[in-house]
Amino acid sequence: MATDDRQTPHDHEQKDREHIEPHDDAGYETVSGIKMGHAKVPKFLKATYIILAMWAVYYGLTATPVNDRTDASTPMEPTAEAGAEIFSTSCAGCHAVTAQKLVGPGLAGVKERLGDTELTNVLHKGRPERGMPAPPSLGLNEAQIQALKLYMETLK
Amino acid sequence: MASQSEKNIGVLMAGATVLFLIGVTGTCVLPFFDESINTPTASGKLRNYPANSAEARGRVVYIREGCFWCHSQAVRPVKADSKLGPVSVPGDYYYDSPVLIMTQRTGPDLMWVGSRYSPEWQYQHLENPQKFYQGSIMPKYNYLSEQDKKDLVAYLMSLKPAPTNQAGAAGQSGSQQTLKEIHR
Amino acid sequence: MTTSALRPYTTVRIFMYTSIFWLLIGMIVALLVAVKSVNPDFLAVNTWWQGYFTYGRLRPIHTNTVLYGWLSPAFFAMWFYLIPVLTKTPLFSERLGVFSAWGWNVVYAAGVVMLFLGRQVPVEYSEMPLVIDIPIIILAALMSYNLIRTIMNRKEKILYVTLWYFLGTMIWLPGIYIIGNIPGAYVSGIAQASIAYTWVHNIIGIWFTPVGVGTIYYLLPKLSGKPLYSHKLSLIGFWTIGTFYIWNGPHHLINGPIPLWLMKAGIIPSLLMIIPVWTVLANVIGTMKGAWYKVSESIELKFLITGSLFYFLSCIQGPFQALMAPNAVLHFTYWTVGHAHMPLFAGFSLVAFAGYYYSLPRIIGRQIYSRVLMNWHYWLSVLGFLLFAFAMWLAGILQGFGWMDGNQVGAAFVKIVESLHIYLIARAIGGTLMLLGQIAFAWNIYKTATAGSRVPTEDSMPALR
Ligand code: HEC
Repeated sequence: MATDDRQTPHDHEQKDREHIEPHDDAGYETVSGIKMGHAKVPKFLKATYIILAMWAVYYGLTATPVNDRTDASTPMEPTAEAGAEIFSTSCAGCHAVTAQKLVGPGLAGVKERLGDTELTNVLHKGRPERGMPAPPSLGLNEAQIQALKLYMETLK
Repeated sequence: MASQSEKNIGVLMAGATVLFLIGVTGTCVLPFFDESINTPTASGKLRNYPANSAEARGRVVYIREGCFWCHSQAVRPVKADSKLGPVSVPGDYYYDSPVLIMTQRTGPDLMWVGSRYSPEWQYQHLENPQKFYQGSIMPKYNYLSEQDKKDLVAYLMSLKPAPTNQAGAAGQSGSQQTLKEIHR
Repeated sequence: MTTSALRPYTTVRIFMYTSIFWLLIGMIVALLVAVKSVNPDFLAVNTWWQGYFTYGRLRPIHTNTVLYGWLSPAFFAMWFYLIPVLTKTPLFSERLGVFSAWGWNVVYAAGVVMLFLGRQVPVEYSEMPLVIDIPIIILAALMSYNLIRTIMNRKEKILYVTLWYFLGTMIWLPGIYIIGNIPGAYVSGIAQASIAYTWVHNIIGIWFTPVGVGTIYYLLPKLSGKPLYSHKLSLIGFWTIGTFYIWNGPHHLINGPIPLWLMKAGIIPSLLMIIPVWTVLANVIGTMKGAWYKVSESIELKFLITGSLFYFLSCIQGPFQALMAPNAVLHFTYWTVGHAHMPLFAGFSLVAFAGYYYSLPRIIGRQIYSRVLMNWHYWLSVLGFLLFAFAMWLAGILQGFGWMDGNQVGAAFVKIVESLHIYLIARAIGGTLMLLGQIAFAWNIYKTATAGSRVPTEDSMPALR
């Protein structure tokens, strides 16, 4: 990049400017027709710079990542309410709780229809060949399956 | 007060270039040398689709139709992601080009959606999401060709964690192991 | 068009007029997107409409059009106006300028067509394919060349602050375009993602921000009639922006699948951004001291000060979102949408509006047609934005906490979506107000160009005559 710093007619103008600058905080010089003041850096900004610099070092050395997964599997009470919640995340995409058919059959009255053994069976093994995934493969554990079963029993 | 750099554009532009290059080195070059980024995981390998497979074609449809604008593909170790499956790690994305993590979750995260529904469900849901969820604001994709829809379903079904065979489990019940840990 | 026939500032005028056209298009598309988020079947007339006007294609058309159709050309107009003025030197080549301006518009229009066809790259703000990126890089480089040559010919030897910022962007804009668009097309994995997010953040961070701040530094002393408060502060502000901003990319992947060192390399500079931002703000406030009453008298100044204020607020939000804990709640939510519009619309677009209203009369020698319309433009933009942004921020917070309660997939997720319906409606209303404001703007500029009253001759072509 070429330097554009050759001597020009403007030079003596610049010298004049430099002449007033050192002792003139309140005054200003003019560049391109714009007046430019020379106030000092305010104290609060200096403090901000220092605090941020210290924070940066501290954070760089000490920060650890968020991890909300370590305290895994808090034991869960199997209740019908808990079951309803699980149902809305894991099952409601395929099943309505009325008689309406989505991908899977509506589950109203499912307990009467299937009987206890068959319901338990479906809730553990699913019918993968016919589009009903085995609930454990959806990530549900035994307590959650029990809760689902309790909830199924409330569907009349 | 008017120092050299204020009269000399060479100094200024060289400074700007150097600062730019330092930052680029840190955020765009160094990651290529990170072990965790450079080692594909088992789940990552599942996403290494052979050219012109249904999954690879489905991924193209996913990008072309802009699915990624509303669906993220990243599970973080935070509470808001507790039910989304295993936390995703750098190696899971080893073969993704480009990576589809994205920035919005207008619809649910799809990192492991393949383990949540059946292909049948995916197909019907693409046709008419409101059939399953009345209040869903997902557009209907019934305008896609039959081929595109099938490919898209294949791609979605491929988004699942690899079975964790260290635990000795195999197949479907394997993913149960991984998922169980994170369900409380 | 022959060289001799080209009047000075033709490039500026082309960029100004075309950018307003794209602004309207971009915001109309925005409204379509907003209505589609309320009613997904909107415009689903037949498969043709469903396909080409699907949400996933319109969204990038909106973002690209406002960023590369409107805001970038708006600041190109500032480049091409302010640099000759500040250097007291005519543009090196008006012909090259005009060529770049039309070239930019033609290339961008081709980009829009490709987005409609679904030829999108899944990297935010870089959706246009390589065949569009490469001519864009060449055009940006040509413009930089033209302006650097102008600066080298300059009659005023000392470079005013605005020129540092502009010179910085002449390196950074082509630089980030190259880094963000070319290697990403050939690599994969998290390293690619890190490049992508460096790009996403820095098209804002080392293009829109410095070019916008540079414009503020010019307009502020002009419009307030006060000397710039502190030369030293502007120096600190410039070099710290240059140092920290480029590192901000990884903060888009906080808590995500990246190594901890990379996360920290993004988070720390994000917080250090407080340094340049507060420094610039201190300079703005110091300059305005004793001149605040002028804000009520000058609509241009009102745009400028409001824009600076929103820029400042974005930069309070930004570092906050970059901390791991708030990020765990807010990331992936609508909050981000509100945040993204604050610097780009309420911040730098307002600064650009001030720049247009200030410079157009000086270029074409006509007064702004209607002060009333200017006021409408101001209030519709600001109030529309506030409605839009608060709707998004609230929706984002509700969404974040809803997910934390476990509503993350299936029907439970949709329950949260339904509860946000009202906020999405509010957003569409806010967006409509913003669009109406821009219609007032476009009409006012059109009338100014065709029927504005002539300003006294001493004011016209100030830079060259
Ligand atoms: C991918 C869709 C899908 C998901 C998710 C799903 N199901 Fe099913 N389900 C089906 C299908 C399809 C059938 C019918 C299988 C058949 O034809 O025998 C079914 C059948 C059933 C049946 C037997 C009903 C009957 O009348 O025979 C029960 C009970 C059931 N599902 C419960 C559940 C529960 C509880 C969950 C949540 C853990 C669940 N399903 C998740 C698709 C699904």
